[in-house]
Amino acid sequence: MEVVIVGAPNVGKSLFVINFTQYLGSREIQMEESSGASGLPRDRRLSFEKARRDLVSLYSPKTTQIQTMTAHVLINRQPQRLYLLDTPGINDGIAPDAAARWQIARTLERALTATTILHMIDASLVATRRRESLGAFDMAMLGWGRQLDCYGVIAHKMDRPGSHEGLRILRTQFPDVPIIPVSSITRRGYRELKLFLVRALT
Amino acid sequence: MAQFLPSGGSTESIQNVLNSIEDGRLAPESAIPLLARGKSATVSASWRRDRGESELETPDAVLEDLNRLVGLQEIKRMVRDIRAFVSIQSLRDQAGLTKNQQTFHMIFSGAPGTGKTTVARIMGRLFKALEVLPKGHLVEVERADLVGEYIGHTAQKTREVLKRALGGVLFIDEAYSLARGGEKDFGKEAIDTLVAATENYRDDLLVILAGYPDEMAWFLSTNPGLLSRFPLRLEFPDYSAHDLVQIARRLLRERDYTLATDAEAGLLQLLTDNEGYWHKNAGNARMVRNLLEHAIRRQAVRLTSRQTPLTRHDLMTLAWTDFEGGVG
Ligand SMILES: Nc1nc2c(ncn2[C@@H]2O[C@H](COP(=O)(O)OP(=O)(O)OP(=O)(O)O)[C@@H](O)[C@H]2O)c(=O)[nH]1
Ligand SMILES: [Mg+2]
Repeated sequence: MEVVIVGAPNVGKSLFVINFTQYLGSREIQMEESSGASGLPRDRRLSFEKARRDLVSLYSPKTTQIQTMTAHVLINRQPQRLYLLDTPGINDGIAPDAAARWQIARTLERALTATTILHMIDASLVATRRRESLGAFDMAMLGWGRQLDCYGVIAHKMDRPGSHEGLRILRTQFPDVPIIPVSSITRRGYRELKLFLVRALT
Repeated sequence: MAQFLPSGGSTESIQNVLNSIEDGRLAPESAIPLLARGKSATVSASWRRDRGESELETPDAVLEDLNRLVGLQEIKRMVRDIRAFVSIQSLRDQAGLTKNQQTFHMIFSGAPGTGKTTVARIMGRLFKALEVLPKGHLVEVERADLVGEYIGHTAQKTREVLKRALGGVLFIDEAYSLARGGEKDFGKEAIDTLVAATENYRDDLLVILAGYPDEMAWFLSTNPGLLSRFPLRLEFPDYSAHDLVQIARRLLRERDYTLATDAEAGLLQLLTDNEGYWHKNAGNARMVRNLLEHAIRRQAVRLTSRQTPLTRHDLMTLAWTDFEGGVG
């Protein structure tokens, strides 16, 4: 079962994937980087502490390649392996850097074959006029997602000021899309998200 | 790219869209609506259908397993094409449009150990998930399972094999050996029985003929009728040195071993130096397996002769010295 997390840079994809893996009961991060230094996929095992330190950043963009983390959920009382794909943030417009473009193509390719797409939006920015508020990429994803059953929006950073207004705007504009409010600081919404995935995967 | 897809088929345009992103000709926001056509049509429909029946594997789950195999990019692409084609055909069927009378019998050519059987097994599961085959199991046979010793014996043996394979995949390894004995050989009888079966059970059986590329090409040339009955041809290339190192790492991980840095570098060098030169019977992934078996034994010898206490790390790690001198 593959769940691809896509979104603009800095919306909190990496922190979410790490904390959610922990929430699902994993003891550490087991991660496959799509290309390590040698050009080969590379497996890493990290403590949650170290993962948060190394993979999450105040400065964007941080994630430069797809990172697959392994977690488990119980479906019909059977543990099912879940691959959570943390992907590089996608900006609007044509990326100047060829490596970044290549990663965008891989990310969308994985989204095409994924079991579920989770589209992450920084809810605290939706109502602002900042460059990071809902952009062309987000609008395109929402347009695609509303045609799919295997798609959900994470309204992220719900602990921040302005996020409730952002969530309200998202829900009014996209009434036909599942939107789950989440904060990876307080872990609000993790339970609902888990239920959403279990339902999507059974 | 698969030749059997109608031109302008969805998979082809997905590939074009992805290439355009890579080349800097298309922004993600413009690419997504184009990709959306591919996915909403194929995935969403099967997704809906699968939801009710949780014991049935989804095509996506099967493709995920395929994606996790090392290398084989071209094969993965073709399988995705086949999947798209089948999905669209069944949607057309549901919409009351004429169904393409495509048969999916296949030729797999490649050296031993290049993943043919693994992909065949996945193909069975995929066709089951797509509801093309009722069971999707794999029956793997070779000449001796099909060819008998006296007149009539061959047809009987072949029919028994077919009965076992019905509803799933019949995988015939080294299929060219069926034509080895020429016109008078009983192998010819087996081929004829098989060819008839591909017609008679067209909705209930997938036949895959497998073997070395050269021999398979020769085999097809001996029997032109095979070409049209086995329209899908998948070529399994020898793994690159990088792929083989990755395979080694996975095999070792399953057995709780790891490669020391020098061992990984040395192995990569060794495999790179020999790329393209392996004797064809040395066989790729199988050859890597042999190398590892050997190294594991050498590591044990190395560790028992050591005076200092052994750590968990020592017990797990294969060093380059364990490999050196290990290839004949
Ligand atoms: N307040 C708040 N901050 C968050 C939340 N999730 C993440 N952050 C912060 O947002 C910043 C970016 O987080 P990342 O996880 O690196 O974001 P990302 O989406 O992976 O970024 P890229 O890899 O560049 O695409 C970090 O400073 C995080 O601490 C959240 O739920 N609430
Ligand atoms: Mg990130």
